[in-house]
Amino acid sequence: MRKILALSRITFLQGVRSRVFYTLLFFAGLLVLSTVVLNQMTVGDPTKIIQDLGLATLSLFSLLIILFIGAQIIGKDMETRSIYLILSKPINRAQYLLGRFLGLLSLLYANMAAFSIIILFILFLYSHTVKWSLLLSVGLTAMEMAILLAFLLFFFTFMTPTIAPFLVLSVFVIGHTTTEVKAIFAQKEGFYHLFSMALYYVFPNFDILSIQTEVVHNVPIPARHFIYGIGYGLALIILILILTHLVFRRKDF
Amino acid sequence: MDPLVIENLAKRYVTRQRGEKKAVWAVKDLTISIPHGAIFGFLGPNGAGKTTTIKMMMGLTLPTTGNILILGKSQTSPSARAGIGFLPENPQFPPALTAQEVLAWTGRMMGMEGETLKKRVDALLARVRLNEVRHERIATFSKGMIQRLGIAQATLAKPALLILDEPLSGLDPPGRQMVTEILKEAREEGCTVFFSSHILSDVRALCDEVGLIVGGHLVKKGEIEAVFNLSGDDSPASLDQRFSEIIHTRA
Repeated sequence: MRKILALSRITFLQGVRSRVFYTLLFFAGLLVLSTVVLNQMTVGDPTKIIQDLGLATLSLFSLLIILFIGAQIIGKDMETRSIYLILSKPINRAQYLLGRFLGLLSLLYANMAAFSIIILFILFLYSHTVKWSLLLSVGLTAMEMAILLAFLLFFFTFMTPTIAPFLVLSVFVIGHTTTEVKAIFAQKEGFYHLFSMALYYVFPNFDILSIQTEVVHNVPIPARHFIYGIGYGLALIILILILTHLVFRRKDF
Repeated sequence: MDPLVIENLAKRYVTRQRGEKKAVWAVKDLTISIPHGAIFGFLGPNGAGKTTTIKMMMGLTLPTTGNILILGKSQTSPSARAGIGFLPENPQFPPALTAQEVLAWTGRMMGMEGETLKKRVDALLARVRLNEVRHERIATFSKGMIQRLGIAQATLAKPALLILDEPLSGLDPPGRQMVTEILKEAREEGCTVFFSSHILSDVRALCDEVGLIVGGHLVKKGEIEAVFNLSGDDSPASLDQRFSEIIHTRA
């Protein structure tokens, strides 16, 4: 475990010191702060706009961290062969995968935590109450991002560093549309029906992990929905990481 | 048992040319045993199979056939790597990290910690003349500095076996001399050294024994003078000439 933590710590440092990270941080901060300006220009409940835009920014920024910083770190490992210096240490390949996964996850979650605090603070300035239920939505988004991160590692075991991030983006888009696609083609027969069913069952269903609308509009979220989402996410992460290891353990460098 | 034993090692790659599959043997029937405390030079021209062999020794590439025993254990076992210091060809470190961070991390991965690790890192940074830039990011380092950092991380845990791929490449004459001294010191401390090179004069200055690999086959093995028919007063240029002749004959 100490070796996994040593690798994840180095991964975190690599991410934090990346120029891309600061650029993303700047634009994400700008977007969150823009909610304050937007509130002056719109009619209606200002807290809803802050929540909507804040949560959307948090999700987008987290995805960009995976696509740019995650891909940069893992891609460099594979492309510049810096992985030689890691795998030549007394660790097995599963430990490498876990070390990198946990390091990137800690980077991701540290940022999500910081942004959540900022959104809660801005909300507090408007409503003078702390809306803790917002963290339920953040929690499930965190699970979604961990799934995407596991997919990133998986794609990097057999794809080039240029293609792997695009595949992760595809999983993100498909994962958010499979329910709708399935509903649209439910009444159809033949190829389209089969195709929509295949998409629905092969790809993760991120709608299970999306409760942003309910949270923003103060719709009560049953505890079992949240627990199911966490369980679904954890099961998927474990499955993807096992698949990744099965491919990666026999990979020749 | 010898610290490094390679038996009937082979690696076959399958390539596609105009839709047809073609098998290429990068290494074939390689058998070497390196005794304790020896410095072994693994010589060969570019593309001879040196790096492929080293990658198989480090578990980075799986052999098609054959066995590798490192310190009595299979090369695929992580515990075997606990006794190895490794330097790949053209080492690449994360550019955002500093030299000190890389060495501290290497030490932790090798099971070192606390004051022992700190003292060793300090000593090695001074030894490879990187003490002044220990807190600077590797992105600012020259090729020679990266190579010296590579040597430092390989020798950090005082390994029983050093496996080095072209350790003297990219170094200026003082750098080459420094690395040569480090390798000799390692031998004096009981370390066995296996290193690849295609520069005969470097190998001659260091090695007790050499192996010559051409086209994936080990064609000669023994003391360097016997393998290359050398006399005492050969210049570096004549060594290179002799090396080329033997390679062409064997190829």
